[in-house]
Amino acid sequence: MENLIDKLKSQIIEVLNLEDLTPADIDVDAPLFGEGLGLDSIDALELIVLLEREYGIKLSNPAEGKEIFKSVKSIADYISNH
Amino acid sequence: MITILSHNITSPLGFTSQENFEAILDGKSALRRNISCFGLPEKVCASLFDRDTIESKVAALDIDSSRYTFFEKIAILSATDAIASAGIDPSSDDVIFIISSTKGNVDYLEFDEYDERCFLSGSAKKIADYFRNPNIPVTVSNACISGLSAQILAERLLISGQYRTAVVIGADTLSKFIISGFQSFMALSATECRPYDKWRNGLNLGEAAATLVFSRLDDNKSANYRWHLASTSSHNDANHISGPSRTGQGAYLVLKDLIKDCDIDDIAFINAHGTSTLYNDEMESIAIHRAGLDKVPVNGLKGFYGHTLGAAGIVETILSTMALDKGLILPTRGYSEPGTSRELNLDSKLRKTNGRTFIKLLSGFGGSNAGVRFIKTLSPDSSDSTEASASQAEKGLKRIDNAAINRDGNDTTGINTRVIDEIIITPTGIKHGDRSEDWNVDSLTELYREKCGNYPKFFKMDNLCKLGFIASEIILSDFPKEEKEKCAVILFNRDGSLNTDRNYMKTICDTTNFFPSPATFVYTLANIVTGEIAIRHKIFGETSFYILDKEEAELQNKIVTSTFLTSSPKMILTGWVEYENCHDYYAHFQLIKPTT
Repeated sequence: MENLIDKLKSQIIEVLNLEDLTPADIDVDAPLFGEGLGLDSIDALELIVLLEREYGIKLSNPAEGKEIFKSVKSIADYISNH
Repeated sequence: MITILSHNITSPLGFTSQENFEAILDGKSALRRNISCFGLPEKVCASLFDRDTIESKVAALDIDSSRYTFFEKIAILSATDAIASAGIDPSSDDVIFIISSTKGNVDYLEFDEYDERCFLSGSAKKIADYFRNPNIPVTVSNACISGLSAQILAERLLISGQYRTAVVIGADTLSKFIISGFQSFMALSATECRPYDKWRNGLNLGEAAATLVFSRLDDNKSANYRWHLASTSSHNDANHISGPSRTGQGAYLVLKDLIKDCDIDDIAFINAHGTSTLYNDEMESIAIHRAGLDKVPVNGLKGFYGHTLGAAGIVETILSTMALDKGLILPTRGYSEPGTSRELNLDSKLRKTNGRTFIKLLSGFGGSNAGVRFIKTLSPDSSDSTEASASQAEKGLKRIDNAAINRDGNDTTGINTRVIDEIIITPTGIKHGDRSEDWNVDSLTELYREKCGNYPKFFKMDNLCKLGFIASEIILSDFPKEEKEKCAVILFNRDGSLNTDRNYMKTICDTTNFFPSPATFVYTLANIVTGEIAIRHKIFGETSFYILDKEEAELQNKIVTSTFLTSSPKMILTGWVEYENCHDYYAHFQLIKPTT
C-alpha cells in the first residue's frame, strides 16, 4: 500500500503537471479537489485516463470519480480493491 | 445595416437550405446510432456525410477532386450554391471570405505531422482561390462559437466600409481526432441527444457546411423584406477553459446586450446552443432567466444535426430565419421533460409566432459566449410597410447606421485608436515599450518564473497559452480591475494550436496505446489562449481568435479597430502569438484604446 501511494503521488504530479509539488507535499488524506490541491474537472478526467492506462480500471461514468478521487488514499483503496 | 443576401446548408439532410428546412419540418434527424468510424474503438451516435454522395456533387461541379480535402469540398459546395443565389461576383475585390472552423483538416496529422494541409489559413486560401477572390480570407477559430464570431466579424468589416459583401462559410468534419477528444471529455451521448431534457446525458457530433452571404443594405433592393443583423455581442465567462460558468455570466452579458434596444415581447424565440450536456444546458437556463427572458420561447436544434462545431452557428441562424419567414418556431427534437434548474419555455413540437426578431446564442470552450439578434424588416417599397413592428425593427438598427457614417468611403470606422503598450517576446529577447533585453532561457517556464507571479495553473497550459499568458501578464498586471473587466482580447496566428494538435495526436494514433488526453485535447482549440488570459485577469469582454496566413498589420488593425463599431470595450489586448518549438516562438501584443 505504501508503495502504491508513493507511485500514485508521482503519477498524479506528472499527469496533472503539478510542477511546484513533490510527493512529500501531498497529504494522503487531504482533499484533491476544491480546497486541497485545487484540482478541476479536466484534472478529474485526466485521473480517469490514468486509472485506465496504468491500472487497467475503466470508469464509464465520470460521476463515479467523485468518491474515488477524494484523496490519494481513496484512489489507492479503489485500485487495491479492483 | 447588414442584410442577408442568400444562404446554403450542406448537411446529411440535404444540399440546400430548403431541403434541410423541409427535412426538419418532416421531423427527420441526421443522427445515427452505433456507427463504427475512423478506426475508433467505440461506436458513436453522430451525423456523417456519405462520402460518395459528396464526391458525385463535386464531380457534377467539375471541381478537381484531387486538389481539395473533404473539408474544403463541403465548404466549396455550400458556398457555390449560396453565391449563385446571391447573384454576386465572388472574384470582386469588395467581397471578403470569412471561414468559420474549429479544426479544418486536422485529421491529416495522423499520417504526417508536418502535412501542410493542416493549416486552416491554407484551406481558407484554397477556398477563396476557388472562387477567384483576390482578398486575404480570415478564418475564425473560436471553438463552438466560431459560427457567430464569423458573422460578427462580417458585420464589422462591412460596416467599416472596406467590403460590400461578406461570404461567411462555416464547416467542420468529423475524424478520429475530434471524436476521441469529445469522448475523452465524456461529453458524448450514445443515443440521440436530448437538449434541456431531464434525461440528457451528452452531445452528439455532426458534419455540415453552411454559408451566409451578407451585404450592406443598399444591395438588395429587389426583396420585399430583409433579414438584418440588429445586434451582436460576445463575452467571456472568465471562469474556466472547459466548464461553463455556474452563473451563466458570459451568456447573460451577451443576452443583455442583444435586448438593449428591443421590446422583449417582440422576440419570437431564442435559438440557444442546447448541446445536451448537463452543464451547458443548465448554464443557458440560468443566463436566460437572469436576463429576464424566461417567458420567451427557446429552442435547440442539435437533435437534428448533432453539434456541427464551426458550422453550428451558421446552420442554426439560417434555419431560424427560414422558420420565422413562415411564422414558426422549430421544435426541440429530443426534449420531453424539463431538466434544468430554471425552467425554460421549450417544446418538442412546432409552434407558431408573430415575432419578427430572434436571438441566436452559442457558448464554447475557452469560456466564450456569443449571440446575434436578427430582425425582419420590410423594404421601403413594400406595400406591407405600415406594420408597426417594422418601425420597432428599425429602432434596433439605428446604432449601426450611426456608426456607418459614410457608406462609400474606404474606411468609415471614424474610430481612432492609440497603442498604450506593446511587447514582443522571442526565444532570444523581449522588447517591452522602449526597453529591450536579451536573454537565453531554455524554456517558457524559466521566463515565467522570472517575469510572472505565482499562478500554478500556468504549468497545466500548453505552450501557446504559456506564451500568451506571459506576454499578457507583463502588459496587464498593473491595470485596475474595472478596466480589465471591460477589456477585449483578440489574437491572431497562422497555425492555430498545431504544436498541441501534434501532441494530442500522439495520444490516439497507436490503437494499442489509445488513451486520448482530455487535458491535451482542450488546448487543441487555439482560442483557449484568450480564455486563459480572460480567466487570469477577470476579463468579461469579447475574446476572439483569428487565423491569417501571416502577420498582416493593416488587416489585423482593421479587424481590431472595427470591434469598437459594434461593441464598447475599454481597451483591446491584441496581437500575434505562435509557438512551433522552444527555439521558434513569437508573441507581439499591443494594448490599444479608442481616442474618440
